[in-house]
Amino acid sequence: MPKASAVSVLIVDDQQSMRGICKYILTQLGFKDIIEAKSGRDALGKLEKGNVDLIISDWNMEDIDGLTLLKVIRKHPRTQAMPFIMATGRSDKEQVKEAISHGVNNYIIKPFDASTMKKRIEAVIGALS
Amino acid sequence: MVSAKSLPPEFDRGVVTTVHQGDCYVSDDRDLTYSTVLGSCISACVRDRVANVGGMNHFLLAEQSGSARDRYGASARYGAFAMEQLINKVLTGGTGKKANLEIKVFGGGKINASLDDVGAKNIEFVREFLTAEGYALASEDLGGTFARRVLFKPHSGRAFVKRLESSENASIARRELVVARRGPAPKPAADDIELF
Repeated sequence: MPKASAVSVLIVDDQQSMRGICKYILTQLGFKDIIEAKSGRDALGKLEKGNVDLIISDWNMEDIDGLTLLKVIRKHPRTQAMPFIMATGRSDKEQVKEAISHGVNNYIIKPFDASTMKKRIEAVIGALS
Repeated sequence: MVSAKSLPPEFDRGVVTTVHQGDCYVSDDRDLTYSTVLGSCISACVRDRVANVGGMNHFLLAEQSGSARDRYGASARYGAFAMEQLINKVLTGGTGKKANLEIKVFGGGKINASLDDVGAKNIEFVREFLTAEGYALASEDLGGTFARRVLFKPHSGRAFVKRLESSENASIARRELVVARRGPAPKPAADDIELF
């Protein structure tokens, strides 16, 4: 049973307010090690620098979008097994299928609240203590 | 933006789509006009000026005390999601470049003297949101003690505002608060997607 405070989460979103919302909710859920990336490219840089246990990424981003980021992460031996949750407003089932085919671990449709976020995270990394 | 008692003669409403509270529509249809009535609510009109794709949302942060200062409270989260939804829809339908977006905002009137100034908190929210995200306002018609009807042409980006008679204020304020208190956020169609 993972301890939320011991899990390092990387939030990737090009909107400051969305990163803020994610961080606010994760803090409510007990997470303490929260890293923010303001683009897909920024996320790749942060992944090179440190240990990350879970990625929560937006889909729509200008430089490297969430799906491309997922593909890159799945190709790299060091990150290919890293849990990846897509947080996005996209609810098209075809897009969900595409993300699944590239190895997304779960999917959060915006708008979301703390309870949805907790459920999705627990479905990926196990019940939080 | 044109604020006038009557529309300019060249204005052709074409097909009119009403944007209700909680709605978010985007189109590149030259003949389309989005129409909405705002009391304390806010509508943002976002357009990709290169792709001629535009959209309108309509939302109200219903919490009446401290909600705008609580940047990530439930009410402010609802507003942020409403703005992000519209911006992403326009980006997806357009060039995908934030630099090509022009943003106009309307509403936030104080139309019920007996309530807290919900409109002011909504104005504060939308201004803070746009500043935080680095967007400049192309145009605005905010505040005041009146409701307004806003027409927006998504293809051309032209917006028209008509200030409404105060006799309509009470019913508009009542309707907005009823809708806002019904639920904190619009639920997307596929909210039940859950993997594994």
